[in-house]
Amino acid sequence: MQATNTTQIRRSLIWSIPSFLLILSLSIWSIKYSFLNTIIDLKNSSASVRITPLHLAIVYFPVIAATGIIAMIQKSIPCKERTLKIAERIFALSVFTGTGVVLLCFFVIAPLQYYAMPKLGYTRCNILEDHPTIYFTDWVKNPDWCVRGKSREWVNEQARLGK
Amino acid sequence: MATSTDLTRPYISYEKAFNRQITRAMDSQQVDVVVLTPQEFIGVLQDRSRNDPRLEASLRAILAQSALGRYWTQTASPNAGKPWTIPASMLANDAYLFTRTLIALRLAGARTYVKATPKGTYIIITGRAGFRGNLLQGTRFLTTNPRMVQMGLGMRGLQGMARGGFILSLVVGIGVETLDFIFNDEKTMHDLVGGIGVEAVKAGLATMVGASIGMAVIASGLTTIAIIPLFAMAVSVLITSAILNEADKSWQIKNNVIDALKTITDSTAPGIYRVRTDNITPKELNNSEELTRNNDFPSRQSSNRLSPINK
Repeated sequence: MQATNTTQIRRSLIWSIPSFLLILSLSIWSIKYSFLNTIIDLKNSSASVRITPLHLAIVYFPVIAATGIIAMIQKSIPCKERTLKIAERIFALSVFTGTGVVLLCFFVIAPLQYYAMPKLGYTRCNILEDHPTIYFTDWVKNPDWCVRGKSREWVNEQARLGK
Repeated sequence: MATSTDLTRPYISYEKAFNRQITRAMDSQQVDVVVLTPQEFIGVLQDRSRNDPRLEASLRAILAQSALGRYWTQTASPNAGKPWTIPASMLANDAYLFTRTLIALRLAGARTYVKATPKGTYIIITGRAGFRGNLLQGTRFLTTNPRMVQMGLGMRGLQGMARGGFILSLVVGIGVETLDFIFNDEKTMHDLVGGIGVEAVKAGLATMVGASIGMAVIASGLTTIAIIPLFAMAVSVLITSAILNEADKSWQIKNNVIDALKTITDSTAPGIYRVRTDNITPKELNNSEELTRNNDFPSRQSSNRLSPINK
């Protein structure tokens, strides 16, 4: 969209850059808090694993935020038309890809786990604490540890005690 | 039935005596029957329970044991009370709006871009006419055109979508919390107020972040493709909501708020207090003095004038 002038673009940076930064920091926190934990759990073949399909979109979101910030700064300088076109294309592509990743999370990753996780020796357990929910699925190594209302820490504790 | 033994009175038949007795009994046992609508009945109960905590507790227990209450606490509430309800409702709303927009644009064939002219900013739709939906007959629309606003294209459209999403999330959030409060007898007023407050803040923050990103994309002219800001906003709202829910779960924000509310109200010892009117001395104050006095040690001031009666 053609903005009327550079002043308007620069003015929009006052609230757009903090918004991008907020969501960037939130997504980085989320990656550190849960996505990495899931990867570590899967790698260590942990007693319980929580699969959140939307995490892939959250992992991708820093790309959208970073390209958005760079493109907006370039636009407010303003850079050459040729440079702007590159930034614009990268941003448009990242947004489309981001939307695609969200759809992929819901329609591919979510069903895929039901195929892959039993092969790794896990049993689905959607009666643990924080359930029922559409956002994540819990998997346990031993079906006996699937007890209604118990937390994942409790499951891991049982696995430790059983060893 | 006993026969009349009063000799001063003439003999009357059994039937008449029976009728008289019934009439007398009806006269002596008069009962006022008030016919109320369910709303009026609830209103009366609410009014009575306001000053009677025991009645309130028993009413809540009755409601919790009712068929609807049991359904809510055992079947619906475990799903509805969860923090994903609001983002899921917002997602459903976004999905509906997306689908409507994409059907109208028939994305595969119609390309939309935005063009700023001295007369105004237009959304131009190119591509084969057959690919456009029946909703869009023209190829050039002002961004303020109601159809464009309805489809979430342009600045106005994004604002409308953001407002709609926020209102929807508020309605869903307040509805879920209120139903939980009515039918779950373990929930208190603190849970209701704290729950609504935290959910509203989360929904507001997610909408604000999403809308500001979408509008920034429009305002800065980052892209000429008209539907990019809409996509950017939807993805931002969804991801922000999900992350905020994770943050809430991790830091126990809602529980802490509810606990804080309980602590505030519980810190005042229950009892009947007498206001010491003899301590209150009338004095003329100008505005600035009054403000200063009110800011200085408000709790001490009130404690000087209040003394518990039953302690």
